[in-house]
Amino acid sequence: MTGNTSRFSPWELLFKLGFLTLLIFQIAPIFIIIQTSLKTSRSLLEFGVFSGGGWTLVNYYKIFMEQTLGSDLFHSWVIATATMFLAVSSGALMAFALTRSHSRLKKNLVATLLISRLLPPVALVLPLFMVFRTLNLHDSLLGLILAHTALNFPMVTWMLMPFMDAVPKALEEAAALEGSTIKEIFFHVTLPLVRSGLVISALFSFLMSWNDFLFALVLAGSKVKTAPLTLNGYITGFGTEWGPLCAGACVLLLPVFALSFKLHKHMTHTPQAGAVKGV
Amino acid sequence: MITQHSSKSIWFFVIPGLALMLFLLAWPIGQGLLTSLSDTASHAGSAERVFVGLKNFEALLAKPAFWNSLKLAVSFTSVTTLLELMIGLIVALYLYFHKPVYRILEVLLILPMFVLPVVSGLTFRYIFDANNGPFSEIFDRLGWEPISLLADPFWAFWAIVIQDVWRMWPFVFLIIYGGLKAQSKVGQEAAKIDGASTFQIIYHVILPALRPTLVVACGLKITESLKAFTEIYVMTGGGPGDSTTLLSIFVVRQAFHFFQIGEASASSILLLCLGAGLAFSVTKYQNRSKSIGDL
Repeated sequence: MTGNTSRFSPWELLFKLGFLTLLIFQIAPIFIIIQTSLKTSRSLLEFGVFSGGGWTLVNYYKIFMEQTLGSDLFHSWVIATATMFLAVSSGALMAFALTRSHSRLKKNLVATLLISRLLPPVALVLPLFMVFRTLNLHDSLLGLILAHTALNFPMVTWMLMPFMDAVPKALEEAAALEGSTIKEIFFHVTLPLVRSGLVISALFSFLMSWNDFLFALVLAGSKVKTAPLTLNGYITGFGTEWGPLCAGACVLLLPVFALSFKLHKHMTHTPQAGAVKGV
Repeated sequence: MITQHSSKSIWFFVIPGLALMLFLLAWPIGQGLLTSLSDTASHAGSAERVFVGLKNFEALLAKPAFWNSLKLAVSFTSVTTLLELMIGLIVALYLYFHKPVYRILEVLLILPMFVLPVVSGLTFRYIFDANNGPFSEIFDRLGWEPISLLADPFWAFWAIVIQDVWRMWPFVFLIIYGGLKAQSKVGQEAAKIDGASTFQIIYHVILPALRPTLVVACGLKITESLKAFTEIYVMTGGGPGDSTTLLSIFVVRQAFHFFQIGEASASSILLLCLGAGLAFSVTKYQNRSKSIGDL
């Protein structure tokens, strides 16, 4: 080090230190919840988070065997999967129509979609709650699936449009000349060509649904519980057991990290790279 | 175009999405608008509506709590946006000039972006927990008086800011980094040959060309902070008092804690207008500045 100091300008050293600090700041919270999830409440009280006490899987045993996290995770998974299929199929159809037509309807629809993809969900959740109560859809799997689909659909459509645009028109025109109907063209020519777009938007809408807390909180919660709600339920007025809570948090994070990396890898190669929030 | 001779079958493609939007966006918004214009308090439980005009809005605007939540939303948005733009820009420039040796470092840096809002909120609630959170543990070990951040109105606000910066600056960073990597290097190389220092290149060449990207990043971040609900709700519940009750939390509190459905709907509508206005200007700007790529 001492031999190299002349090469380091003070600025560079400052930036290196800043980068390191930022890195620690970014990693520490994740490290802390993993560490906490592996300790018993007693060793947490006695030794604290950062030292001693040994590791154990008892928190994970607790949340799955003694509490309902397993079935709530299943709910979350069912809702996210159904949302994914519904949002991607309706979004793909819509994106195809919007990129292939030139009517006035198209312009208005595109504008509406672009805006609704950025609307704050909180503003929609209360009106949706009232509609769901009228239709008796509240506190049901179907209700949450529909709500998540509605939330995801504008985003999925918007993500798929550049992919649809990138499909060479000549291919579709050739198929049309051969006498294919427009539906045949869509299913046999266009869809296979936008496969990576479909994968990205599917991952994306799965994650959006998996991560949702607000809609589950307002539109469900007693009969149908999703895992994020259960996790928040670990907070009690009588002192919270942070061990199981952190274990649950790690379980929820696992699929998110796995899928996000896939998503991120895909996203950096697509037209919208960076313009889309990963989660 | 291929659709010109089959305009009827276009409906096959449009109907599912259109139905979704009518049923789950247009209808609820209409319902919300109606409710915001009706008296709900004296008719609790009954389906009957009494039209009262703008009374709910008037009552809302007369409430100090509403103005407080608006003020908090504005300060939260400006503070986080400013901080995250700064960090995002500096890190993007740093990584642009010094590719880190290990790519894993870059991944670890943006990792929090993928954390679920509910997990992020609960994690920071735990970290700042007064009794046995890691933060007070560190204070304890250093021999300092542990402070309870989330029980103090002033610090609770900064705690939610820290949480947001932790999770959201990578989002801003990715947009800026993308714009940075898309820039042509010609200008930079010319400036370098003319003897410009790195700082001069950044200030006079890179930043002016990066302006559209920065505006887009800023706009998207602002819409994101307007959406922020879950992480703050699970972290502080809007408290202590109403020191972290941003507009989004205010809506939910008003509706489900105080059962002021009329006023809550009115604030929903206001929030919706605010969000739509922002979204409109962001998308308009994005369309105008196509030169920065497909952002």
